[in-house]
Amino acid sequence: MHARNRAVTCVLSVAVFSSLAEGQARPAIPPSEANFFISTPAGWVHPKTPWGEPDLQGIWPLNFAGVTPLQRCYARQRFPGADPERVAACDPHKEFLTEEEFKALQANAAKAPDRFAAAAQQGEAGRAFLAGIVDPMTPLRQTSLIFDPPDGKLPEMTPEGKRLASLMKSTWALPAEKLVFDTHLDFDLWDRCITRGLPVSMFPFRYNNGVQIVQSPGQVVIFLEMIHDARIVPVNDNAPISPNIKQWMGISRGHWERNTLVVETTNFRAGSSQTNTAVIASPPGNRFPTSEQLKLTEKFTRINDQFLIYEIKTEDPVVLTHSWTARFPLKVDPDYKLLEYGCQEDNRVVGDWISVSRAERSGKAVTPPTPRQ
Amino acid sequence: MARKPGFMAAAIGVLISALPLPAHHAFTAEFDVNRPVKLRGIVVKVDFVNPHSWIYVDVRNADGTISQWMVEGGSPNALVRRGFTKNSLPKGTEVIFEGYQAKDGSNRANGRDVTFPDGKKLFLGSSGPGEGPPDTKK
Repeated sequence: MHARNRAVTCVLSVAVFSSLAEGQARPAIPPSEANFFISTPAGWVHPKTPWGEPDLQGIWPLNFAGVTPLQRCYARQRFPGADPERVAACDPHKEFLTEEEFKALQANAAKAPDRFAAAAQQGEAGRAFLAGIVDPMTPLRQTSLIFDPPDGKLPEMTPEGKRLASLMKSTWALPAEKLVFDTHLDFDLWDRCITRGLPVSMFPFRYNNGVQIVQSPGQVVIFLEMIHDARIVPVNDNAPISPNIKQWMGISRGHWERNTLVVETTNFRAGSSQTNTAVIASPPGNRFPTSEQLKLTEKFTRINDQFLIYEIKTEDPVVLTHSWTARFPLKVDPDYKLLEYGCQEDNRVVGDWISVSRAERSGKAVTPPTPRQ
Repeated sequence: MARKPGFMAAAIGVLISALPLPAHHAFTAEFDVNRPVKLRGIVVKVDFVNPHSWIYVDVRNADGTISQWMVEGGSPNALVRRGFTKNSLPKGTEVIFEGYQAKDGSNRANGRDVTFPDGKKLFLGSSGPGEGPPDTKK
């Protein structure tokens, strides 16, 4: 999509979201780019909480958007050996697939085997167990999660951002990187089960994608299954926040713009990565830094009983040359069960990897007696 | 260039399939592909811990002593969501694991296959497509 169409989309977005105001019955809103091709039925009334706020409560798993690349046409950079004709066909300014293209993608996805189910059926579930299992994911019509910048790419880092990135460490290797571990500080915050950080906690991963919204008068909680982070968002709380308070997940404040929940988050403690490798089409290595100047603006807009549109804008003048914004639909899943994610107390990664790294470097690995088979 | 119908979808499909979906951590950084192991032993316990689960297995050595091995599995929540619970591999079960030993030479392995001594694979016939996690269907 090019500039004119993007402007149209923007106008349509305002029209669509504004028309859902204040619990009034409205005509049907047909599917379009503005609503990610998810319509609003005629007469639909936004549900309200008993105290009269728009009701967003439910579980909105991120894996609904899990197969859509974070960045558009990213493989061009990362896999220069890919089929050049197909890579060339990827238009960095095309935001949505045509209906025909989307149907082809869905058909392709439907043909892709469910590796766990297939393994179980073939009596190979043990292999599936040991390999780990990926949550089911759904193709979307959008071609990337990022819509701004218009080419769907993460912005360039500032020189300071690049310097901070060069200092970051992780078990997620950069290309050709030889990892060395001696202390817990050689691991990233996610490796250590401390936090996945923001904005990336609001993006899909291979598993543990549960996001639950719970509301009470004056509070919204955005509960994240991965790492068990609970983002508590006071609503319409104008009390000043001390700049001396710095937290991994920042401090959030929310307010309502018609039926849209707007959440602004500041007061970050620096150190986590803005993206994680396993969000498809993220930069490698979990080395996209954050600074204390990080600011997020999120919008949650419900468009029918099943779907909301989620938007997140990331600003960090220390790290980024300009902001970036992602936008994608989420579908409520009342059957999704969020499970406990205890991690830190039994996390073997730190100790085991230090042991392996030291053994490799010393050449003193000792092979125990070969067990009898 | 005239674009073929569905070409963008095909391109995206290819790009998506070309993008690696790495596990939480790189196999080669911890385990040694040149140290394949085949362990026949008794399950002592299954630790459903994050970020990866671990199965503890007592393996009898040639000299009659017992060595305890740990075999790494998937993320507990993802496993449970697909119907594999802590009780799917009860204590006392005899199993054969095939996998790769940790590079530090400890009795720790990344698992590849699990087989019962009679050749039956884990979960054979007890799960299939369309079945939800049993613990979420109460």
